[in-house]
Amino acid sequence: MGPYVWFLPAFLVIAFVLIYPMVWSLSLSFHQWRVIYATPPVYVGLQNYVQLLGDSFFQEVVLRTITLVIIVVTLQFLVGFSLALLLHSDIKGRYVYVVLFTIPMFLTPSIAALMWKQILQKEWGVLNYVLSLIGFQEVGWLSDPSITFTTIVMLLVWQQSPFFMLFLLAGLQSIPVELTEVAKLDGATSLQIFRHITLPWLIPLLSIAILFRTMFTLRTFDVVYGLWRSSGPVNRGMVLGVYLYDKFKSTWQLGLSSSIAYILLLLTILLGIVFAIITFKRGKI
Amino acid sequence: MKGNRLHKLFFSVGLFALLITLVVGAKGQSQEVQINLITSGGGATAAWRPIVEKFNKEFAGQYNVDYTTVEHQALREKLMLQFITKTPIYDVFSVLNTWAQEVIAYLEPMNELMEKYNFGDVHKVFGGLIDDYIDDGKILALPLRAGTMLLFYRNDWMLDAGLQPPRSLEEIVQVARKLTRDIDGDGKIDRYGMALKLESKSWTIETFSDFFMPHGGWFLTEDLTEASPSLKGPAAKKTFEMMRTLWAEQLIPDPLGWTYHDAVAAFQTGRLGLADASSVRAALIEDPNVSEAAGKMGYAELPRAQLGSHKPSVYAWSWGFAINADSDPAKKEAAYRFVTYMAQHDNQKWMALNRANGPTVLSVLEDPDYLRLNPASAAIMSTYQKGTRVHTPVPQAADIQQVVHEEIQAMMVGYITIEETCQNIYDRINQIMRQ
Repeated sequence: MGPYVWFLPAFLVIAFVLIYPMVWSLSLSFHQWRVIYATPPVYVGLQNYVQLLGDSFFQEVVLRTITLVIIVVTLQFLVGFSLALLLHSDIKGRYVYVVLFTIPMFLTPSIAALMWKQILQKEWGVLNYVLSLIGFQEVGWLSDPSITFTTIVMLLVWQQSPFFMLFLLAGLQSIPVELTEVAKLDGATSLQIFRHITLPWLIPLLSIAILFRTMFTLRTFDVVYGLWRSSGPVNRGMVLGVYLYDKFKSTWQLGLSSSIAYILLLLTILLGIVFAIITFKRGKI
Repeated sequence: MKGNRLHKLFFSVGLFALLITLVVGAKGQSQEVQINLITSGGGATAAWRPIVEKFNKEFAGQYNVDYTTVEHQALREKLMLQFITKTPIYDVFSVLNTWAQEVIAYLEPMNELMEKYNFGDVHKVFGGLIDDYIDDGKILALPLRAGTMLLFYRNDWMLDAGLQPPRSLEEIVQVARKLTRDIDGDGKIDRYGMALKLESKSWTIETFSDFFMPHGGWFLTEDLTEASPSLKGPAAKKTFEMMRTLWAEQLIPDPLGWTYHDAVAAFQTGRLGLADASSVRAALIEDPNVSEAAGKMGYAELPRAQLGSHKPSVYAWSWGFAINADSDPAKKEAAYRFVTYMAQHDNQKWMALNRANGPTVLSVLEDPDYLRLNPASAAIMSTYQKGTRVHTPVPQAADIQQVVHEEIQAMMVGYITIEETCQNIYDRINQIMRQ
């Protein structure tokens, strides 16, 4: 018992900061509590979960969120990998480009959204002005419901592709030079080297990067709210993070919003488990 | 040895002096009551802060107000969190009349203190503005900053075009047609005749209310129990027809991306001819340092008519100062003294004349100095006199506003018809009120 006593302060801090709030919010998800009525929480069992999962609007929100994750993470990987390959080659001023390309990632998402709000403004924004110079019509980036999803994807890809770029650049730079030299001596083409050496080498790193980006994209909120202070035109930007905020901070339904938070958590854990199983099966971890 | 004794002596004297300072200081501090105030930022803070500092100087040693400002949305969140956790961090806070009903259960009634300090009849001081903060006879906040919605217009453009300020929804469309221009002939509109703001629910509810309510419409029945049939009547339909026509004829900038900030900026840069806006924004547009429209604006009441069953009224907003019911009694009394100080005629007048604050005290609204300095004052007074009210004075306000916002946006992009919009809003508000 003696040595474990030294863990007690750290455990108490974690219990207070992490475990207790999680248990409290989980129990809240089984209650109905509308703070504006100043009444205490009422136990309702699984009613909040049943209500949410049976609500067609909520189903639409979940589907939109999963679609966003798939599209955004794929595009982030493609853009990030392309940049990593470019920066891995022997170009002049490579490290300057690394810094420049990573700047979007270091911007607070809400600040980035506010900045883009000005750029994407339909009548007098910079982007539409540039498009008009090359003969394009002005686009309702922030007001056309059919473009809303594209706008969100654009912003998320712009901001978080550098995450993949850094991961994969580190991976590329860690490939032993001897491997590629030997392959070249054996007559392998660039494509064969890429397919049989580069990609397999990068897969462990890529797996982690995809897992992280998936988790963070599932929780997208600040970009959408920064752009519209709502869920976008005709709710076309309503993803789980925004829906949770709406139920919690706009209408103060604490029980329901706790349920949404736990559904989001379960979705994240599920995706993580699926991912871990696939990766374990490959024997890559 | 002698040196050691000296050291000990100096140390003891120093320690004794420190202890005395701490005790006397603490005693002095304990006599001064600390009031923690939190409000939203922006124009409100610019108006209130100098008076808070004045209060601190006048009551130094007795009261001290520690002032925190946050963004509007963050204010609601901070307040709600402190109510949920029952931690009275802030003793006084600003509440907006549109969401005051959400927090009303947590506010300290001021009736007893008002009697103790002989405040007098609140209606003689504030007129109808106080009604948004009275619940079941309990006075829960005092309004300190108010504004009402008006029609802002470029007077010079109207005169050039031979136009009068519009007095009906149809006239708004006609004026917008005449004022909208492609000045340089590049096929792009450089000057819009009108603007509608529908970017988020707070703007949508305000925009819709500005034309719906003055035509006898309202969101709820007078007993606040269910949706008003006026939502399916001519007041709503004509308002929606006006909105759709303006958009269909490209007389307004894209409303789904438009906010009041855009409208102010458009007036300041000479790109907008007419819009509904809050009276306090006039100060931003009349500032010659930032606005080319300074001195060229006109202000009129929003068009009214009896189309619906409710008394035609205009949405008036106000910020009130309320006292936290969980604060301790000594702080509550100090807070009351502070709140009523902010509402005194001289202080309200100073804020109105020097910081473009929308006054809430009737004596200031009728003051010749105020009437002379504020070009919108005649329209403001007339609007107040004819009747103003909050659009959704119920705890479910946020839900109702979200519903109205969603349906109106869907209507504007053509997903649903005007009739469907009216029916959907009516049905969904009833669902909310029955929960």
